[in-house]
Amino acid sequence: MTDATVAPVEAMRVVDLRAGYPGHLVLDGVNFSLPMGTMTGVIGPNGAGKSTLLKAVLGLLEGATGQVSLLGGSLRECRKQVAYVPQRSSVDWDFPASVFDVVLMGRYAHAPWWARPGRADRAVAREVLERVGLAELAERRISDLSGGQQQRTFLARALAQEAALYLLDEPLAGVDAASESVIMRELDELREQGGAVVVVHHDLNTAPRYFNHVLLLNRRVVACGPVSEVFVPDLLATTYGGNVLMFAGGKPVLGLRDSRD
Amino acid sequence: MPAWANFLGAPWFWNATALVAVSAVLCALIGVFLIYRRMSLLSDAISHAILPGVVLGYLLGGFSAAAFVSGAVAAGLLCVACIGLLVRYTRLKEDAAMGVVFSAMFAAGIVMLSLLRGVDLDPGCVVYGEPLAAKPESLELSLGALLVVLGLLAVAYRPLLIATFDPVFAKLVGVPERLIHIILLGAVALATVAALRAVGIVLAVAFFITPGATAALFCRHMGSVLWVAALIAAGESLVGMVLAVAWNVSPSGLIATLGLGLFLSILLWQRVQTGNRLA
Amino acid sequence: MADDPAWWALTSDVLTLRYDFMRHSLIGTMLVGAACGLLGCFIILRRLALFGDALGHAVLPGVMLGYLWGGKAFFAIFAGAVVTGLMAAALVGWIPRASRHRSDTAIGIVFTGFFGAGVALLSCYQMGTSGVTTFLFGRALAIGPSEVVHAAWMLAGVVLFLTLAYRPMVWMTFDPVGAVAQGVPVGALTGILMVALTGTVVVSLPIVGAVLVVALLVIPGATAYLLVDRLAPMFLIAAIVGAVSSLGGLLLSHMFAWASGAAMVLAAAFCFVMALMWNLSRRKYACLG
Repeated sequence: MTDATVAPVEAMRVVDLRAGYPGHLVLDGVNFSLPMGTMTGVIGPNGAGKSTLLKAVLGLLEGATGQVSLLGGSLRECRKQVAYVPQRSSVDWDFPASVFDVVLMGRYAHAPWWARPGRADRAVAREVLERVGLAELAERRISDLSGGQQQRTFLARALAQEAALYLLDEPLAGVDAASESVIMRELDELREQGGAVVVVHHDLNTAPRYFNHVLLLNRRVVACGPVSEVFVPDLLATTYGGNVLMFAGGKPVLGLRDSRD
Repeated sequence: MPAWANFLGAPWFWNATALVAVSAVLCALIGVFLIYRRMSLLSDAISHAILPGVVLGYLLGGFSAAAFVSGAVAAGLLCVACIGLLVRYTRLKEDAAMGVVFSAMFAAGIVMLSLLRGVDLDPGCVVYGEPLAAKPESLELSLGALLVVLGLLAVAYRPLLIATFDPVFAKLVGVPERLIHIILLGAVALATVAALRAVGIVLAVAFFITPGATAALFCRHMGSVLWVAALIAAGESLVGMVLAVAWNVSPSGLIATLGLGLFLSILLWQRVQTGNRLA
Repeated sequence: MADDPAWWALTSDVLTLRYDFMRHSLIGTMLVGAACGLLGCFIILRRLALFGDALGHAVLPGVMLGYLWGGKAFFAIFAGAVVTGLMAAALVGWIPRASRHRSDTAIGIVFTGFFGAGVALLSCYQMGTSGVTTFLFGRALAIGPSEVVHAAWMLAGVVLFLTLAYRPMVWMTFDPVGAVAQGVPVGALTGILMVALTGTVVVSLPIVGAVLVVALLVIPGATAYLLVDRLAPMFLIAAIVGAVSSLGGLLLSHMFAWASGAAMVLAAAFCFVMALMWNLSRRKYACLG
């Protein structure tokens, strides 16, 4: 974890970020900042640029402009402190590797590139596997895992990085209930230890329960702040485009005419 | 020893077999990474495209190994760069760009060869290799290339593994993904030229891809895929050389056929074991 | 070279088609080039370039078996090529379903295995080095009247197929799923396309050889694709580029003693580079304007 004496108070600051894909600008001037010790849900309709935001912040998109500071510095300075959990479909799960092999990859930045993983690295990998409930499956080939187990493997790889800032892209998509509760418990744990967690999330029903901070995004930032201030009908309606939202007792009810249908 | 097997006591046979086996192991080790980085067919393109570089290397460098290895690597990288530029700046798709570039470069190499009578590289050798006619220098070159690749694997196994499994993650944790890609492209060109005498250009892909693909059918870890692919490559080379000399057929052609046969046998056996259904 | 009177005599012989064998090789290669160009358009549009390469290699064992058992009869060679070509295509389709491998790996495994078998058969039956190089690199000068007839039939077949099945083929090429939904017999048409491709590959083998046949299939189509936006002119241009580059390659091969198949490929590549430069310059002006 970060040294207490120089611990940054700001997890992420984004100024005037523009990013997208060739011929298609998705994020058009995004500004926000997130403090440490928060668990932020990035919420918005499909095509709002939620995944694009994470990729742009991590420098994975060519041609993105704007300023991004992570943990008070540039990405280059704090690479070891930032962990990213991509969407599950981003890798080939038929790759010949066990769960343990994948989790051990998270220890890469903690040793010189030529060195083999040491005893301490293996101990960390075993410990995080225990935490996500995959200790028994450590030697299982990753192609034989369920969707939820694959997602927990990815989370374990990120936990093994022992980072301060965690960015997760739809970690709960297509995941069973048991995995969902394990994942949210571990993320909560990270926040309680003073880290910052940013999660792209698509389920409005669970959002206020899971997050204490919300970033409403629809190509620009609609609102960003504590869940009680931001997760309110007006702002949600603005985010999702007016009348597509209906409310029951102040709580948003999902299953609306979303662009997904 | 029966009469047909007399050659098993002859040093020329074992020299040729050593050359083929070393070349096959060299290609198989690189090939495992090519399979998982979706570069199977790019390696085919590179192995064809090195030909003009090799011939130019012979011409300019006066028959030294360094000259034609650097010619091959330069031509291989040029091929990949041209494919990338075509895909980027025209509406051609990657497969068409590959087809255009590698066939044109290979044709240029063939034309250069046909102009250079007297150079000890004939078109037949280019296609299917002639290990039985190889000189000792060929074995030195492929041994050297194998040592380079083994050294690379020993030192940079972890970054290679991470970059192959998850390039995005690799970039984020500081693995030089782009550099690794270029090193692999160069390694394909190096291995093709080092294996030219033994396997030829057109059959090089069989030596790159098939052993690794066979090992991947039943291995659970990247490490074991590498070991088993190397063993399969060496075993097929030995069996292939014995049969090829006994039957007087092209060794690399026979080894490529054996490789496909072994792959299909294991795959069929697995399907019969697991599901009784073949699809 | 150019100050050698014999060289000039030979060149003028070539250009004036003084001898039968030159007429045969010129006409045969142009017919084959045109047929390859026409089918090449589908190869480009359906992203089958690497499959075309694989097919060029995979027919070799069938060609050899047909050559050996069928006494060099064209039909036997064609039948052998179709059998091994379809076997290879079926395996390429089956391996990704039966294993964890993707289709590019499957193509790599299958076509080299088949090509290896073809090379082993070639060397096994000791057909002499000329036979070997004919099938691997082609020898346009060795074309006789019968090859010209085969090439003419093949081109006629391809043109007939394209004329009759033009609309469904276009539909299937742009929107395979929609075509199935509309009742276009996509399976049957793909089968016919495969057989036509195999046939064209077979008649191309003695001219460009197994290794470079992909170039004749891909480069004229790719050249036309850079030049025009609509399909009908694309077919026309691809056929012309195919025929012209075959002719040009043959002349180059005569005049400079280049390997003939490779010379044709280089001529086609020259057309491609010209088209590429035109394409890029037009885009530049479009940006400025």
